[in-house]
Amino acid sequence: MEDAAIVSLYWARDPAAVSATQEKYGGACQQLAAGLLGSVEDGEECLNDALHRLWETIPPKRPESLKGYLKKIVRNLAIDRWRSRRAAFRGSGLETLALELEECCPGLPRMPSAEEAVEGKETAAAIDRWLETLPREDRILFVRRYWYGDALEDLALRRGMKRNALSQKLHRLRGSLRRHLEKEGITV
Amino acid sequence: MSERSERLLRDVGGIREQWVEEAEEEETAPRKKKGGWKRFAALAACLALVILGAGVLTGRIPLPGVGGGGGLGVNVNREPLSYMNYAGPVLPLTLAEANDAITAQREVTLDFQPWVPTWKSVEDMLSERTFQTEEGRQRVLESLREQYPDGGEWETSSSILVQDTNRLHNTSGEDQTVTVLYPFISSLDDLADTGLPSLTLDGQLLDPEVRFGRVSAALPEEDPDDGRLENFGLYLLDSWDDYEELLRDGSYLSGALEFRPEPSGTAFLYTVSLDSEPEMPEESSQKPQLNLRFRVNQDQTAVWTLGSNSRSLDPESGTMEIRGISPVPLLVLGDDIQDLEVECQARVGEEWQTVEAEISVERREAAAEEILRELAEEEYAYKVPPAVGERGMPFDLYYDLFLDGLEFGLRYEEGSFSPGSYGMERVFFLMAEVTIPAESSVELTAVLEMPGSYDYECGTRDGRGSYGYDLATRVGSVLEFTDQTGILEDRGQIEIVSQNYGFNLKKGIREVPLTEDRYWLVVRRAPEAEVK
Repeated sequence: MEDAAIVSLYWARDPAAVSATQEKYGGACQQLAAGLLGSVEDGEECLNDALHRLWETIPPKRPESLKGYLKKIVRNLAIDRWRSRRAAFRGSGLETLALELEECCPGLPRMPSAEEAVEGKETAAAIDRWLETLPREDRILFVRRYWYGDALEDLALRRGMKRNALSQKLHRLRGSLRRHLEKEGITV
Repeated sequence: MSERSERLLRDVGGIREQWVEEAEEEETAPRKKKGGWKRFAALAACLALVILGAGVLTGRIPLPGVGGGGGLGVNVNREPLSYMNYAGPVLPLTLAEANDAITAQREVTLDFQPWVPTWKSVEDMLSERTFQTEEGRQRVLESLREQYPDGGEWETSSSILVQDTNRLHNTSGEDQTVTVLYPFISSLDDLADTGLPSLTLDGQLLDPEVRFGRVSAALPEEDPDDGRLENFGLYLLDSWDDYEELLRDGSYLSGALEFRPEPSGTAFLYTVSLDSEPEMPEESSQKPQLNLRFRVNQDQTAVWTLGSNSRSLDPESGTMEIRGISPVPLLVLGDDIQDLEVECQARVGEEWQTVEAEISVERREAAAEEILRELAEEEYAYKVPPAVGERGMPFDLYYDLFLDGLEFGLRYEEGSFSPGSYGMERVFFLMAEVTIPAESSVELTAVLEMPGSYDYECGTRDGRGSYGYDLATRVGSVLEFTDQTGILEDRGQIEIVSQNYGFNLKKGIREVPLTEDRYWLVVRRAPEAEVK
């Protein structure tokens, strides 16, 4: 079923929308969450929560890309789950990713939390601008690692690289992002 | 974990959908063994990233030499023992010229000392983060303490230390002075990380010259056609056969010894940028782009720019167009470009519209040697950690590799250009002149770190995978070896999965004569050596 048709089902409050979404994108989304959290069970629960969230938010939303919207929800829910039950996910992919991204946080004072929502969008837009400047393969590497949470071994294998060489490359990319955020005055 | 990094992790989730979709393609692409597309990728790098008149590739531009090195075909891996990630064999010592008066006895020790777990404290981990501010380091320290409640973790490596000792005996009644060449496999990336192997003569540390085989020497002769143009995994050598074929007839070594890049001619560095943000049409949601149009002498000029900029060349008129986001850098080698025109454009729907903008063009002209050396110096400072430095990775070697990398195009990142062949494995040679007194011997010893070869499916992630270590006894060497011995220092860390050496840990057989051309040893961590 086309995405537009599935979204129409949501707007019509037809529960078939949920099963159609699950059938079309459930596997990939569950895999995404399970990879980030390092737990198949939590991946399943994340997907269920995401489908529920989809039902709650469409309407009023009419996402251009149902898949993109769902994946973003799944990723955010996985991060929420990890933050709320940190001890249970010690050593998970997300913990490692956050530690790596620590290198990108410019050493500037922290913004007040009230501005976080706006700032988050600004940060994402600044990251967008930085991604624009990268060669395509570097951009894909960054997104696969820090959006999808792919393991270093997977990324290295797909590129025919050694793990160490790939780590170095990611290290350079993180340094580049840090300098870009500093230049743009982003106070992560 | 600090709040900042958690927020950044979440903020990454808000990037444009197009990047997420672009990266999704990789997930669905079939996983391949090394080989195949990556060989094409190397060639593709010439085509896709080096935008040029054909001058450099045809060798008509007198800049870092291109076109030599003798392209060798690379066979498909047919060995019964193959790895998805092949580190290559330990290679035998050789001489620049064959010498009947010299014989050699070789003793190779495979030392698993790096497999012995070492404790790495959170303070050790922090000390590697020299690039961070003090505040950032404190945040990381807090995070690390949280992540490692025991104060650190046990670390192990899958590399081994190889001590390759060659006793060179002069059987003649006259002193013999020979040029020895110790070959080893590495890449610019790996060397920048680990530094060079050491070479000693009778216990005295030598300061050898370093030579390396050209990138072009390992390119396939025919154009592969599996269409992974965009990928840049420059790994051409990934099996025993590949190395054996590369080194067999000595032409690769000859090419390495002859290659002394000396850039000549003129280089031009352009930076085209917007002085201020132009007023954009309301309907346009993208950033403005700069569109550069100029004429280029296709036989005499090579032009490099940012890898993500779009570009086109009309071969009939010699007009090249490059489009990118400000600032757009251009490096021109050979004849300068002509009639440069620049427009600022905004995308409205499917069309590009010209918009008013203040644009500046900086142009610098200097000897190619001067500009290329400066670019390489910037890269060197950025790339080579102080811990490796001049001793582990001399600038002159880096510069030569940089010039060789021009063949594969330059990439622009962090305000400087870098060669696209950083990660490409090749054979390097430590070269030194050695005098062996009449009817006497000297002992030449190389010590190097050798990474393990592995298959992904064997499971390296949980540390229980199998790793392979190959050794060549003759390939590429003109030395006459009277005998060779293999020694295993297992350090109680391994169990042998398969081999053709004849080691037997249970029976205490750790020293064996070597008579075959190729030896392999596949091991995994012994259960009793697992880190709990």
